[in-house]
Amino acid sequence: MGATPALSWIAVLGYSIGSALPAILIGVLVGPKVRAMTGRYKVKAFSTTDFGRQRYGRIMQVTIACVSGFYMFIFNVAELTAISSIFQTVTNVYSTAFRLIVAISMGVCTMFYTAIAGLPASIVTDKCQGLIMAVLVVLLTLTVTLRKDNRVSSAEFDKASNWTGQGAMAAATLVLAIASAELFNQGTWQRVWAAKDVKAMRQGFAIGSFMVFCLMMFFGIMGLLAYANDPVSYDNGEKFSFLSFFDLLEPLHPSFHVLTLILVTALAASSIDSLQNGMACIFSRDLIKIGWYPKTVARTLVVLLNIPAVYLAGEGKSVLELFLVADLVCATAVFPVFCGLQTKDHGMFKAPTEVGAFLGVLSGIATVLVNGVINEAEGNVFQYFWLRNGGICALCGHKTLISFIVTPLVSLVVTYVASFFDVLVRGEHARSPIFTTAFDKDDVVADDDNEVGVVELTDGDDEMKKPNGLVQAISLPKNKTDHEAEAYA
Amino acid sequence: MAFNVSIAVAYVVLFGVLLIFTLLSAASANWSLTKHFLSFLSLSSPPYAGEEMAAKDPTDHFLSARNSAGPFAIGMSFFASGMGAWVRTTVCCLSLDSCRLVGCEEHGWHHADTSDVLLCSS
Repeated sequence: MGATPALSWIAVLGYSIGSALPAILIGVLVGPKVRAMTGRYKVKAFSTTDFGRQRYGRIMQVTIACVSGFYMFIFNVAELTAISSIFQTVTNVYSTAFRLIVAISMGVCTMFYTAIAGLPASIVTDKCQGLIMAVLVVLLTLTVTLRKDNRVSSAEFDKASNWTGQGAMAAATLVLAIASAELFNQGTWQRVWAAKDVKAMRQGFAIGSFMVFCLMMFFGIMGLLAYANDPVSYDNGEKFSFLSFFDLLEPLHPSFHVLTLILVTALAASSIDSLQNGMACIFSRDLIKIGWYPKTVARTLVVLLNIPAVYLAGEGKSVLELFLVADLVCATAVFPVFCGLQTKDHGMFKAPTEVGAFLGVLSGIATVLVNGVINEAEGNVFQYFWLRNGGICALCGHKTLISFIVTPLVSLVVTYVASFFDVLVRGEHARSPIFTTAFDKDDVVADDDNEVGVVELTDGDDEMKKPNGLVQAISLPKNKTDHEAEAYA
Repeated sequence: MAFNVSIAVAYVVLFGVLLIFTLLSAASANWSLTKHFLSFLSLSSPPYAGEEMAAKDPTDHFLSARNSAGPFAIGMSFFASGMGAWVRTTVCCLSLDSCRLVGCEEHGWHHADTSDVLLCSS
């Protein structure tokens, strides 16, 4: 985006803000409440699929699992593809075999060390990877900008530095798309439950958000510099804007190319191991409850999901469009899922029910299809998920922006409307899950002494009853040791 | 674009980095042997909440690292896990369509990945 003058500063800022915003949403705003709401059960939660099951029921749990799983799988494929492509670019070896070797090595190795030590390993390696990345980015910033070949005058920089309407639209789209998608990244959500307490969570995510913003701005500004250095080549297509950072690296000593490879490998490994842990945790809670060797099943699941990912990465297939599909699919479900944080009725705005939330998701999908018909998308009605509408970049253009605004808005409205009528028609039964499994019925709340006990909702808590033995611990009862509930409230 | 990294060096980088992270993970899986080493690297601060949690419920700790990470760990973990290799190219430009505008496909280039890295098909 930096090296495309039509997008320039605003798009770079939008991308940076969009990438940093999920940390604020998850770690500071939504995360503490989700953690507290799910923290009162005998078998603890591992992901937002557990939040969906506890708040709504099995249907929303499966919905969240499908959306999250799809997004994380695509992200994993993208990472494996990107790292193998970068290795090919830097070595000038474009054989399929080399590509496969890089992808397989990354996939197998990260699977191996996450299988050894699980999420704790991922967090420890993330610390190390983060430090490496921070040091190398600072080093590369100094080296690239101090190099005479890369210096530009202010007049040259002005050619790259623009504030455009297209950039603004791209920025807005990126913020909405990334926020929607990242709210379904279970790799990020796992850090919510890994944090020592709510304070550590908020501080940690704030730190992470700031670092992400800085890194994204760094690469964006590098794109601007690269374009300013040689605008003619970029304008006539001799150089490609998505390779602009490599353009700045090229004149450096080969040792810096090696440092860049180390940086990129660390970047990819850190993402891939988190995604693998995220994918494995989707059904961890149920596996533990059933007693189906959760660690073994989790490891097996990761292996099974990585095989097609490595295959697709090795093929070098285009996954950009699938990534956009994932963003849009996440946008259809983001409001129905997280409106579940509302647990009390506010006049006509009833606390969303499972039926309401599920219909909200379906309406979001329908909105995309209708949008496709309106924009005369090619192919069948589902083609518009690929967002092919003539924008200058994959996430550019007003039509794409409209898609990412209208889709979640419609799902939000339908969630509340459907919930209202659901309660009107079915009464208090609407608050119950549509169906429950046999082992849900002994889902009781553990107090802080780890003794199992049933939480009795206090008088006046008429918004959620206890249907079919399933405790809906929506209103957190006061407990002198329940510090987290006090903190988030 | 001419880079000078040989394929041998690339393999050394790839496997070297992965080996380091594998060793770190193996070390983190056995607190009693490595806690001093990790403390030296400032990768884990005492008291080792992870060790306590691991002893209390090893399965839960393996799958969730529940209540074990401080703010620095959370911050670095979000930073590292969120920033992948895709950052190197997409922020510079999301340019699928700008590539199409110059007729890349006519020159035998194929779109390779979500990061819009185009490779010349040989």
